[in-house]
Amino acid sequence: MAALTLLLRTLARVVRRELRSFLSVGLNNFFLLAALMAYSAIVNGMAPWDSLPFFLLLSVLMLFPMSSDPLAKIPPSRLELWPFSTRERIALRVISFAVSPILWIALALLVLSRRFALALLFLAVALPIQVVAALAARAARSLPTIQPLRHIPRLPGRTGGLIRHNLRQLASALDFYAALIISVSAALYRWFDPKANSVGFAPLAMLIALVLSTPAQSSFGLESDSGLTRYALLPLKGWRVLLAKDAAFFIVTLTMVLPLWDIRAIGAAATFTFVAITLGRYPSLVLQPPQLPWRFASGNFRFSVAQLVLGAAIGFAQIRTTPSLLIATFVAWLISLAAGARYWDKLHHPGISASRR
Amino acid sequence: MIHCANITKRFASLIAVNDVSLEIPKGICALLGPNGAGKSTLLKILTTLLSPDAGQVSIDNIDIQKDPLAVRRIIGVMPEDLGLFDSLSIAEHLELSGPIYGLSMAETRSRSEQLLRVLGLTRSQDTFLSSCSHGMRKKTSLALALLHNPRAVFLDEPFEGIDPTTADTIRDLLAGIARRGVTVFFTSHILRIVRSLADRTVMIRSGSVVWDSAATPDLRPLEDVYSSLFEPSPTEDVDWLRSPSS
Repeated sequence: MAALTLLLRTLARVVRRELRSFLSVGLNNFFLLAALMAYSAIVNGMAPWDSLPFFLLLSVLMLFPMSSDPLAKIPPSRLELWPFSTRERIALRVISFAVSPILWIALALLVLSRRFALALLFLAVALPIQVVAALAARAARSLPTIQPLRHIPRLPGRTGGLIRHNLRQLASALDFYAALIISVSAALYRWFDPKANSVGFAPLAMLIALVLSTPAQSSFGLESDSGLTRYALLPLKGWRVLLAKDAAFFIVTLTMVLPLWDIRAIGAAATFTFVAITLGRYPSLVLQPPQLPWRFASGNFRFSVAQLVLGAAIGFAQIRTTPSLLIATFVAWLISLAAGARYWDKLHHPGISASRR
Repeated sequence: MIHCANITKRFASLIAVNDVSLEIPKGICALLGPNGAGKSTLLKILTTLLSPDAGQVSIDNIDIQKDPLAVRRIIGVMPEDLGLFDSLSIAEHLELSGPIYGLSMAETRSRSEQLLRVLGLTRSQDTFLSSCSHGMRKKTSLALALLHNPRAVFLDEPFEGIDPTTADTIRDLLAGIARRGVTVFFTSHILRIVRSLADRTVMIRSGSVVWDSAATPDLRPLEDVYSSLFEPSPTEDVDWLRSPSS
């Protein structure tokens, strides 16, 4: 029994760590926007209903990678090899659900809201999502050919393979799926709502660009040490490496905005994206905020605020004025690419002492 | 081919590479030494991954500090951490690498197919690296090192952690490319393979070269030279491993 208790305590620690990894959403641009909307509603004496769909979208997406089965955290072979009796194994299986993150969240909801129905509703939503996620993961393991990311094609050109790699990395952050849901909703609104107002297309496009903007602060956040070594070995100038990252970013943003089929919307999204990448260059290369796959990207607070404020201000100004602001942000992006490339080349130049790296 | 003069590399108070000078012509050179001797650090310096604190390195008369990109174009490397992307499959790694080194897609595909066949990776070429075994990852990294037909190949422990049949295949492959004029520089702990493959053997300890077969020819077997230079760590009997009742 002592061994079981110890194991459960370890599992609880692992679950706590996992839950903490989801806190990355706190420095995500989409979350910051929703929080800002909620705050301004409360300050003005209104209920923060407008921000609720955003918070719901964030929460539902985070439920997919959150494993409700804590025993899944133990490598199956290790679990099999431990000398537990059948009775102990059954006990472990049953008691392990006590440290399930889903149960903890439901309990927290119960304590905070004092509404049993709300906690029950959460479980009713969370558990099917967990089942779907577990089945999808199992199917992907047993039938590798159905993995959707596999179907991202190689793009032409010298760095086409790198762009494919970068596209796959972008698609392994939850930001991508939040933007995808908004993009699909926006397209449905655009094409199937008879009352669809074209004035709303550009702000919708900017919202998509905003949801995708945090990963611009951690372009290399998902690279393993092994992957970074390969980058250092490739005979590529820094501008090519960074351009391959930026190209993936533009491809994703434009693909999601294109269904709106509105030139002003595409212009606004492009402007926002140029601003987001330009401002994200420094944290991406120098600050390197940590990033985990299947989590929302996390940025640096100051740079996130700058991305939100400047991106939105310049984006809205661009809608009302001329393409000159789009051109201006494009030039700013080019300058950031040149400066970032210079930094990259210095960093990977063996003539520079390691103490300066 | 590989020229390095008075290379020194420090990490805080630790001297990882201490005033190493080597002149390696075409052929196969093996670098031996116990764990922590400085083999991987020296390899990283020779392959532009680390900058030396002092000294000069040139590959095929190109100074790595003056033109690292030119050096990266002519070398193939299997680094210590293998340098692979988890989000790509084995075949996709080769598809990524070929065009970067100036190969056309057709040439990349044709060379990839042959390399995958030689290394026994054809059946698993569509496996994502995150699902590959250590041996498969190692072979993928080796294929990446060879794909662009480099003038010099640097391999960090290519024979460790792979099955004996594949080790023999890799040994034959390296012997073949060396015969065609490629310089092969590798580190290893497997003395049997080093003995059968390398034209020259260099041993380092605490960052310094302590034996070079080119400078000090020794008629003793390699194993004897190795054990005379590197003292085994003191043995201690872990007695509780044999007393299940205690």
